[in-house]
Amino acid sequence: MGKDTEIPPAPREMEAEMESLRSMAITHGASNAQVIDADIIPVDPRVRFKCMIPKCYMSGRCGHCPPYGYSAEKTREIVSAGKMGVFFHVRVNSSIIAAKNIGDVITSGRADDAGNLLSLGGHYMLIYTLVHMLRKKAAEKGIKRTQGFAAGCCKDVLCFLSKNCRILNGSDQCRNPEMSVPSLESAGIDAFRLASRVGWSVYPIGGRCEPHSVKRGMLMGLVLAG
Amino acid sequence: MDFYEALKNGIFTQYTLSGFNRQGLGNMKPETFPVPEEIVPVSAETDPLVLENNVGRLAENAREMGAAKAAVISPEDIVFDESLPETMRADDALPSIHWPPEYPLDNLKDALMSFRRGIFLYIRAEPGMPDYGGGPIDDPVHRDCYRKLHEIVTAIESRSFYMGHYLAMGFAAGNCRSIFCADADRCIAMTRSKPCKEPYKSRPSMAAAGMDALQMFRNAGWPPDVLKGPLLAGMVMVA
Repeated sequence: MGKDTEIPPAPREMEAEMESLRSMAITHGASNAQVIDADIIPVDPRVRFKCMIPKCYMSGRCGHCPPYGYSAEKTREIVSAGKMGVFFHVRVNSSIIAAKNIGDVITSGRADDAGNLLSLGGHYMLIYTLVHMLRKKAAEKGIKRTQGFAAGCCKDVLCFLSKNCRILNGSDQCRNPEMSVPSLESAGIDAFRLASRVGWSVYPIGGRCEPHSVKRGMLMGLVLAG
Repeated sequence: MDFYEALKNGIFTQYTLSGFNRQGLGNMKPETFPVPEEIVPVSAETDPLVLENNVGRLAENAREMGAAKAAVISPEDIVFDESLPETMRADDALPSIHWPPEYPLDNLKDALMSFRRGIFLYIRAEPGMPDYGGGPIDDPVHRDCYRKLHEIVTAIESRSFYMGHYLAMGFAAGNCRSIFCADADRCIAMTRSKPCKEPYKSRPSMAAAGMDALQMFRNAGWPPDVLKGPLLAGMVMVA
């Protein structure tokens, strides 16, 4: 989390501020949001391996995705330094997230006639926007030490039209330094388990899924504050 | 009956390394391995009884698909040998994303030890088949043997995923490039931003990932005559 010398809000005050951030997430498009204690966030070394075995098309595509980014060990340090978080999700209809050939469409990056690529991209963009918005609001409220986690690969969402991630090309200037954050999964956070722990129904959606097989999909984000 | 009582009463002995004896689920072929009609949400914590039941079914599925033996294992049954990836690295005629795999920030051993149960299996090699190491594999029949092993491993991994064990992780044998991309100039997945061409089929070999499948085979007490040829063993850690 970013360093700061200001005195953070007292615990009770912080709880109230987090609650207002939770409401804000809902107001601006989250399907559900919960204030959570940082110690329920599961960091699991297996999660990052799911990006690499087999190699996901996003793996190695941006500075956040495995094999780069935060190791599980690093994320554990970040999580243990945090106190509370706002965990939220954006619901995605199964007709979009489990659409036939959606995997191929995403991998190719070519828009499909059904508009699923653009629609899914919009859902991802909402996650990044909400994370950014909540962190900004938290800073205004005096919570300066925050870390955001979104979903997917920031290169695909924020730099879709650019050929490469600048960070991976050796530049220290990210094109979207304020918006770009690691995804939960790229940092080794077990988003599925966390969602289940807060009582949300999360379905495993793989490449061979059909829209009728799952009730819905969801994309998740987290803003951790300490 | 709770989990520990069931364990004490020997209900799970049918799933141990010493053997399996459950009724089959039909002639399930890898190509027809179904995605469940309705997928259920994942659980916050996996029920040990459900997990034992699931891994038993998965081992059975592996045998139905052609595994000569399939045993339920615990992470403690995995034998690690850190010298193996180095050996594979020297066998570099056909470098690929999985030969050997590189995980600079992540510890695979830690990840594997986080599982509770997995399946260890092998298929019989063709008589007279040599150990191809990193390839190339000139004989298409021999290539099909490796392909078959990968098919079983990926099918079991996929099945585990849809059972709610979404972190399932599979390993097979041989260099995926010499099996699936034999005619390609290079492994496309080694290029930044490019995915694997066969993500639903190819997995790292156990040896290249630092696991001593041979010793695990011996520890399982499986027939030693199999070791006259190359060992085509795979593993899927389920949950």
